[in-house]
Amino acid sequence: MKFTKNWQKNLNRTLRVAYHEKEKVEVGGQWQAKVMHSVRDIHRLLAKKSFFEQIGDALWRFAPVACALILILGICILKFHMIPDYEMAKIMANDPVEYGLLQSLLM
Amino acid sequence: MMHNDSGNSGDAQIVGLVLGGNVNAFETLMLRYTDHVLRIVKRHVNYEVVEETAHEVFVRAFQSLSNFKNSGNFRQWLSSIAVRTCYDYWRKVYRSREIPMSQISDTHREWLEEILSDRSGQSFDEKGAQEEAREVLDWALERLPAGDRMVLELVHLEGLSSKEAADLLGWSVANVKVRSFRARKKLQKLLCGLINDRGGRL
Repeated sequence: MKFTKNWQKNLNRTLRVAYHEKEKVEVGGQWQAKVMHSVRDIHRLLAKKSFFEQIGDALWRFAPVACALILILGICILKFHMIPDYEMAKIMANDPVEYGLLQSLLM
Repeated sequence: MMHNDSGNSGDAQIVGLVLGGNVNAFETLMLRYTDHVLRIVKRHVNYEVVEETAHEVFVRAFQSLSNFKNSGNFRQWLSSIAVRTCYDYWRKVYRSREIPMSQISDTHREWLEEILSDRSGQSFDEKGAQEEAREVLDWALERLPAGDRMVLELVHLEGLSSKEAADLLGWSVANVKVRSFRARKKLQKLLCGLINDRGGRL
């Protein structure tokens, strides 16, 4: 059987009415008291968190900032060739022991 | 889904009180929006689980209250939580298949054929109000995946725009459009098969 446009339109209209009919079902009111009970339980559990758990939660908030800082520092080090061992070796090579302070400054 | 500014600021104040530690203030919000949440939940889930789902909606709302932006519309924010809770319910059901699927009888097929031929003389409103209409609708929706079901209900049965449905579900508009088109095709196929299959099985 072909699903004609007209039938499709009629069916959609009818199903839409059926769908909205579902709203008319009555529901009791007891569940609201249970919701407040659950909410108070959750609140109590959250309030009971230990000092270290609270510190831990607070520290996690800084994780994105820490990651961003690590990334920025990494890029800076790579870009400006800031390798500490290499820099130290360079200073030592240019500053032999026999040079005095004045000579080093004059170079 | 409109709500006035005084209502918004009132809601924001209550949210502030709850976040400040006054848990009992949440009851005011719950009572204010019970009807609204129930209306959404009743449309999307079966009668037996309406209370349980509404309960879950308010608990989730309480847990994510700190994410509510005071400038936003609380009603809209809560609607989104309600729709997503219903969606999660159906996803869980489809994954576990814990609810037996309803069966269709010849009475339902006759009801569909009456619409096809439009020979009963009843208006569409009368036909839609019949128990058969709801049962055929439930039968077809049960056979669709959770996402298809939700999008079909929101866009085709409630008449929301793709943008509104996307906001409620937290999807992109393009995704809603694609899912909605596919879901409608699947529903047509199911109902067409129901009429063609006089033997009673799809």
